[in-house]
Amino acid sequence: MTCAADAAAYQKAWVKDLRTRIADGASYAFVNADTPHELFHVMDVPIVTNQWWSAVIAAKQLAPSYFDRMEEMGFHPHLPRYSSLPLVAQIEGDTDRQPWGGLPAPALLCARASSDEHPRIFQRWSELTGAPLHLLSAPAVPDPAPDWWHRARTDWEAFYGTARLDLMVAEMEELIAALETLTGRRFDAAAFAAYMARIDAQERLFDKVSAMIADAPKVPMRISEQMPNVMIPQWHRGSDWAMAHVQAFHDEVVDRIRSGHAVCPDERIRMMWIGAGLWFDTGFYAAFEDSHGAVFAWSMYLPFAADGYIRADHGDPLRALAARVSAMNEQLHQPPWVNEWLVREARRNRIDVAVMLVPEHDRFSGYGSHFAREALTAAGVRVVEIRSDMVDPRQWDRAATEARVRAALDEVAGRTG
Amino acid sequence: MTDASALERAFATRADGVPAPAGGLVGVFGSGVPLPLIEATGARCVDIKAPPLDDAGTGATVPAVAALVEDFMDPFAARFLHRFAAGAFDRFALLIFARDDVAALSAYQYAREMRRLGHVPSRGPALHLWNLTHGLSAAIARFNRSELARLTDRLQAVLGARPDPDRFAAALEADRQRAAALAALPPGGAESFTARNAGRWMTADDHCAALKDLPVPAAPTEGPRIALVGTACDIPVLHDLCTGAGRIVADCQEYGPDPGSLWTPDEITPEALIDALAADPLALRATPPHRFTDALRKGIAGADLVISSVAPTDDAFGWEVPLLRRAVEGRGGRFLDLGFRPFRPDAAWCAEARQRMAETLA
Repeated sequence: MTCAADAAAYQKAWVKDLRTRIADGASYAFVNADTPHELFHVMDVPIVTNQWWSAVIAAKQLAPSYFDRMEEMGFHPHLPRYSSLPLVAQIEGDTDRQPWGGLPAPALLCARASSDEHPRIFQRWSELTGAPLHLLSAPAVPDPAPDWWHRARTDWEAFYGTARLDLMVAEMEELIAALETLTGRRFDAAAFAAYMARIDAQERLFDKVSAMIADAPKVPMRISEQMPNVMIPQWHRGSDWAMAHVQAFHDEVVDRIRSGHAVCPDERIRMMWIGAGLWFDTGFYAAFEDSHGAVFAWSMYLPFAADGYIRADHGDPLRALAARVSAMNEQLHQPPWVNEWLVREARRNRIDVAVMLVPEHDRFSGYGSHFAREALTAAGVRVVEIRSDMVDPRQWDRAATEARVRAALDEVAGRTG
Repeated sequence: MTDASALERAFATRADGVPAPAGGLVGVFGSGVPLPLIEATGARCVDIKAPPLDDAGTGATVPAVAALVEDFMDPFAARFLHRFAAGAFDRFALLIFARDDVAALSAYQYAREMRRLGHVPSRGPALHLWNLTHGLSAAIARFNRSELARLTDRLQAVLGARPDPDRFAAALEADRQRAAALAALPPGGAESFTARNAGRWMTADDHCAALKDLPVPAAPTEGPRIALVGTACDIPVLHDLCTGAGRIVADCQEYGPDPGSLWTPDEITPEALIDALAADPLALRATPPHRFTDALRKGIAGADLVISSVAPTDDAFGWEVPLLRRAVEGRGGRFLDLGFRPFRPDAAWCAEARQRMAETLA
């Protein structure tokens, strides 16, 4: 069994257990991906992550009917989708067709105002379920230095700004107080510090794997395998299972590289997938291996586990967590951060072609795309821009998209061959 | 020039028609910026979010900007960026962007990045992100104080002056007089909308003088009471549409209310001004978010007809619409969702909207 299969099996069992716990009345929190999950984990409050749940619904091919229903409810068709699919399912209320038979009411909601829709979507969740909402403020970094992946690891106080971090810490302390009330347990600062150190070790191992895959002569593992190997341990970051799994993932990659294993032995073109996963059609990632020797070598999840998460604690792990969270999503989407990071990653991974998912209705995720496109093009990378969505397949035309990518691959093959 | 034409000219030419004073010209993109405090340095503040009216026909399209701006970007931000690259703000000393405005953050980040990458000349105004966070908590208040200090330092660095207490008091007094003059305007009607918003590009004294001698604009006093909700609308198109259909009693869209209505000018400190701005419940990013929903419902209370329209790029307001409809219809009112409103609606869109309004009121 490969690591990816192990991770999937673990997640399946964990989901089953969580579902049982929730059905038995355990309190859980419904949270956005860019919130401090660490606080929930250390307080032993189960969480369901909005974007993960959205991907689960999408993978079951339920999104089209929900988005059609969303418009029938009076929500306009240009509203963001990735973060709203679970809300629409919840409002629609037909729990029989939802994964798990639907979600019961959470005990607590948590989101960060990183984009304008999140406060509104979570306000609707709060009205629908009666759960209190903890909304974390998201003032922007006024003078963002381009090389965030260097500076944010240790020099984060100056990089993100003392006032912004003070605000995030204060709002996280309010969240901790709410979790203490919910659980009847006290927040253990020493245990939290130890837990944060474990997460740091986990992310440093991901950093190592990321560098190994970048340096390997040929891509040793498909991104469709990398994604579960990264994201599932990330959902459980710092746990015994996650630590062991990341080590096993590391070892498997080492073995594959050492033995000369290649996803595509005839690898000729290296590609990067820019954007969130194409959750309803992950088979797309392997579509060009036989025809063009073209392999997706990169998706954001593995390198971001290192660059987006490693934050030296400087003796104050709560503040380090604030640094991790306070611009988490922004680093992936806003100039100059996104364009500079993608060029650095493209160079490091010897990328020839970038396929960029531009979700025009998730504008927060779509902004910065053209800066990235221009920067990558200037760096010698051929960019194919795809207008689609991470969870909504209604505008996804697999054949047409493949044709566009193949045309780009032909062009690159002609250039390099 | 008559007072009405002075107002109309200011409204039409907008930032392009404002001369740069000795104390410096400061452009402001979005709501929630402490204008009296900035003017207390001797500078003059003008709105730069809404482009001049003739921009729709003759505005510059800069290829370098067109290559970088996605077609789903808010049109206020997109037009700003083209104008910025074409040099429309070169005579400004400073441009301030309100982070909580739906378009300003992108406008700021793109302008800054275009400059860093050399797509636009490095000459021109300094750019400043005003990070005011809308909320009532002590932590937010502390953060906003730090933003106030950062802004004050920036004003000193760019304009060479810090806010002067006497000038601050005078700016507040001018705003108080402006608010009194604006109170005489009816809440609806294109003429009133134009007269109110012209002040974004006039000094408070000039605005007051023009308003004082302006005959009270005609506005219907009978017919269904209408409230407007939705995303920012900087032209009186919806007010025009309502002519003959009823009387507008509330315009809850950006550019609807008087921008100075949030604070009480008497004896207010800079800190209290910031707190008043941060407490604005009609800010879309107000925390906790139910405050926006509550304020919206309060704003439309008593309206017989609520008309909603949004920009095609809307991320956020649309999440309010179904519940708002339910609330309005639940109390016996009518709700008209016009859907997407183009940035500059054409005759066909207006005709269809008018038709739907008539059907709703039939």
